[in-house]
Amino acid sequence: MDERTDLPRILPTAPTGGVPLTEERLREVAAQWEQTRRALRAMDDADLGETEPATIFAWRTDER
Amino acid sequence: MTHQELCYLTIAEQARLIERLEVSPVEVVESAIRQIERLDPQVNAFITVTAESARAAALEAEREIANGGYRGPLHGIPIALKDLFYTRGIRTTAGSTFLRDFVPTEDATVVARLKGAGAVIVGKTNMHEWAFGATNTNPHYGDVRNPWDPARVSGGSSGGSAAAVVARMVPAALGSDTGGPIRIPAALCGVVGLNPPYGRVSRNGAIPCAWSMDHIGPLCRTAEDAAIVMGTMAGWDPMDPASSREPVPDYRAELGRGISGIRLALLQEYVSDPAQPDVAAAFRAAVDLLRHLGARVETVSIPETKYAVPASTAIMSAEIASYHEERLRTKPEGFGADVRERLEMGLMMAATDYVKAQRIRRMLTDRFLDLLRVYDALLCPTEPAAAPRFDQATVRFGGIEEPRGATLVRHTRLFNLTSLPAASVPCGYASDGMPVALQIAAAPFAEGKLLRIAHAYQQNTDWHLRVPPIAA
Repeated sequence: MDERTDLPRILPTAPTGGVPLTEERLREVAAQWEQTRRALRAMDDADLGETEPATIFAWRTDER
Repeated sequence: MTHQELCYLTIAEQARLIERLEVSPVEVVESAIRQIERLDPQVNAFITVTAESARAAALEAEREIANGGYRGPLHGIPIALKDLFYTRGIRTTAGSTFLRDFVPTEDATVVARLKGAGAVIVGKTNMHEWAFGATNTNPHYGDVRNPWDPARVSGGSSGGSAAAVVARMVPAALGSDTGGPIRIPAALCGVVGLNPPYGRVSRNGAIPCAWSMDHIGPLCRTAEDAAIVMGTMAGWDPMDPASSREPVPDYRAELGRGISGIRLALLQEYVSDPAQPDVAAAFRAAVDLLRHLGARVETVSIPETKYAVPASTAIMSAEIASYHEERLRTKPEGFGADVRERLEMGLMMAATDYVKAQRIRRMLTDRFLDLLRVYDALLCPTEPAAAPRFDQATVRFGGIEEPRGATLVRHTRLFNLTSLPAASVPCGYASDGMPVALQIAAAPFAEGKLLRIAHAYQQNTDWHLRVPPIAA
């Protein structure tokens, strides 16, 4: 990945939560995150169809 | 019986002697403490050793048992706890500097249950910082060294627990598993590690890693011992919002039912995945043995399995970053470099990526639930490679070279993402002498069946009886 090319695309959305990161840290961390993001986006939305997000009770059947 | 002989015994064996009054809990606990004192300077499995309170508890157990108050198979048995479980009056660091002096005023639910069954806590085990890492290198409390070869990692994040068990310091230890941290060190150190189904064991009083993927479970040398510990720990807890009311089976009674006719599926995506030749050979031999014991074995494929690691990375990273956000904002230098970098990754996630990961989680969970309506269990190697060395940044196997952290979680994350029970069982040794393991996963709340398969396998193999040279 060309970090210099990628950085402007990442910067507007990162970081969240008000945690300060220097530009140097952003470059390092963005490169790591980009791999995961690409792998996630390789999943075709059409194949997910109407699948709703999981919750932590994904397969729970019992009522508490 | 000498101290050395006593600490070689399993829980089941120690318990038999204690129940018959042939051995006192004082002797059993003393054997554990001496083994810790002898070996821990080399292994670094413990952050805190509670020798004094353990000796006092052992004495109390001895009195109780002598007076006819035997409580069951954990009474007087020495047990270690990963250092993220709240222990009343004993510091609980989570492997971090932030909690270096934190002393809880309450016990975690699992700790209270173990104590209630008479178990004796001998110490708190070393772990990857905040349970967020698979190697158990720790810049604050030192690295845990693999008892089979101190130049190699133990695996993590419950590395101290696995190392303590295989080095015969304790017959059992508790761990937690968010993406493999019970099964990874269990595999690399050569012990049994059980990741119970989500909701089965209370997380109350366990410092979280990622709330929706955290599982609490035992590390032992045998499936029988794991059944004993689970029998005490499992079950509904009103203090844990994710706790299940699903009835807890008699795990130990289930062990003896054998595996004739049981249907096993080899998960093609992980079985045909490249692996070190020694790992592949040991896995094939284990499958052949299970077939010989009466299991029916077929190969199945779920191609979407390849999304398990990125989806779990996204979900874990977001949850962990949320939990540590305030610390990251106010004292980022308090984190070790590797943990800080991955926490910061979690801050960068777009909400759409996070939701996509949760949709993948749902899709994969549905696929595996469908599969486990047909098969009793899934099998694959726990790890594609044996324990890497500390100085080894990457692992090579089957024409692949990747960062060691990626290799370690390759086959384990799936079962945290889908919340399914999974166990790692020793199934051989690589040519360099390092342990190799088999992973068995089952349907929700079918961990009893999983332990039954592991027990049948261990009854016909002796991998779990081998002792690292430093512990001999």
